Amino acid sequence: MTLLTRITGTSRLKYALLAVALLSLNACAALGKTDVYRDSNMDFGSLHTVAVLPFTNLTKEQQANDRVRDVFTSELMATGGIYVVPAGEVARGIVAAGAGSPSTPTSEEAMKICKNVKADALFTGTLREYGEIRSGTASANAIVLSIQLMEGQTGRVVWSADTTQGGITLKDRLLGGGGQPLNIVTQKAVNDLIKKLFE
Amino acid sequence: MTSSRSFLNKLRLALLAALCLLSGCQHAPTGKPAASGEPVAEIATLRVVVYPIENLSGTPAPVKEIRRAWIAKLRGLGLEVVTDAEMERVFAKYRIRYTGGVDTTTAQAFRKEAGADAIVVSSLEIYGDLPPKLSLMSRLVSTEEKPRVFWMDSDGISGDDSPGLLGLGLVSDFKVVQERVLQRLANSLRLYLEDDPRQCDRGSLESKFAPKTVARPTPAGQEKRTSIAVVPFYNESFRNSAGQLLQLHFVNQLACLARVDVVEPGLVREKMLSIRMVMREGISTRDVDVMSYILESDYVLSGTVFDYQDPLGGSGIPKLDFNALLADKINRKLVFASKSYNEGDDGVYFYDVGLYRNADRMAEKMTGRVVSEMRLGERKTKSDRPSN
Repeated sequence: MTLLTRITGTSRLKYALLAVALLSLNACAALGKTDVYRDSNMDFGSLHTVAVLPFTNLTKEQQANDRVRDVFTSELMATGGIYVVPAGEVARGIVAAGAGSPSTPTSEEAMKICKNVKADALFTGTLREYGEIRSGTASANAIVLSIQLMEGQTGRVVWSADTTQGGITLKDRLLGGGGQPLNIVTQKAVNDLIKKLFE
Repeated sequence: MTSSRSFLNKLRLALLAALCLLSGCQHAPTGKPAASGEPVAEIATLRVVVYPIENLSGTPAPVKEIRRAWIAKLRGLGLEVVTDAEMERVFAKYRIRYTGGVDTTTAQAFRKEAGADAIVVSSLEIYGDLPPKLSLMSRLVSTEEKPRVFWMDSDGISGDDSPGLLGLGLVSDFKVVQERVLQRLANSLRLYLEDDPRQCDRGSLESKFAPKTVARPTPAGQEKRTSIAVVPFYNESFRNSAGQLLQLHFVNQLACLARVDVVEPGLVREKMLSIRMVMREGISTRDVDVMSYILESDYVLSGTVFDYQDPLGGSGIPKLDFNALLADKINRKLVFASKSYNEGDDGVYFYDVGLYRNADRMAEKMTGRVVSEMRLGERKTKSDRPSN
């Protein structure tokens, strides 16, 4: 009888530990979602026309920001939900607004640019990693990108997200091959961000 | 004995037939039939000026020799070519220096001074020595008040395109490559002049060259005949003239559409210079307004080219990356946007089957796929001749 009680007690302890572990995992999942910020008061359905400003390039690759911006613009327009102002029109709008740093505008500058290009909001972005990364003998392409959405009426940041795609996988370590092409990795990263935007 | 002789005769006949078939197959991949060598009777009176070849290859090239050979091919088609001395006289009199296109003044000058019906404008895209490489674009532009593109085609060959077994198919002589390229262009022009329905049959466009992203924010007009002005693409690549090359490739594809009038690139250049238009990072709404107004076009096609790599010297693979934007005059908005990127070894898994060694071949296929995605109608089957 005593033995039976002891066993039951051990099982209870095990169940309790399992429950704690599951709760911890849940908490981890919640932590994973913090890479997206969304203003709860913003009506995203009211956005019909947006502008994509030049991205800040923190990588060693020249023109990497322009390449990623172009993919982002194309993919955003391909969703069919939003019209994206052409890059030439955005450049004209930036000059007319007299924005000192086109990739990181102030709220006032953001409002001016939106007014100039007749956009409801604008996207700014920062490219933190782009290109080949190495670890030992293995190499693969990777991209780290963060995007912000600024509302045209107030200049507030209403949405923000980041993504990391590519990198060295177990397959790359075992078989080599250099991972996926950079264009594919970029497209995946951009699609991930757009998915987060429309969630 | 009689039966064996008859058998031998049959064998000889079969071999002869097989040889004939093989010689026919030699031209099959190009989709352009071989010229018979006889001049086209109907166009014997067409008088043309053959401009000096514009070198967009970025390397020194024997453009004079190529032009001489091209003139010989054109004469072979029965065209009457204006002499160099006469052409130089008009160049000097009207101070014409640009030979990459035809503008209003130039067209009028040659019509009036040399009695020319059309001008043949050629651009050299790629030139290489080892292995020999040549890619040439050529077009026939009318000398009317508003010059029009009547025929355009491009062709390019690399000596190592088909190495074959033990490298027996390698071509090391540039003259051979030059002859093949010019002959194919001449065949294409012949089809146009003969009003052959196959004149715009450019072969199959492989699915791997389809644009990776396509957007149609607002629907384009489908019913009426439309006019499109293609402006030079904004060049972010490391290759000079990449924007101009993409512009010409798109003109080449659009010129083959039955319901599309493509504005001659020389005319686009003339108007852009006259209003001192500078496009920052591509086309803006204001640019679309101005261009469509002064060129009387319904759409303006522009874009950005990020990569236009064509490795010379037999190593490396070509790489292309560009976007294309089609803006509408009426709505002042984009009606079409696409993003394309490809490398020469895309979809190549075994023994280099399907490998592309020339960027110009890829550009032709990629722009062809983009234009077909624009849904601007069927390809031409009937020629639109210059008026005398």
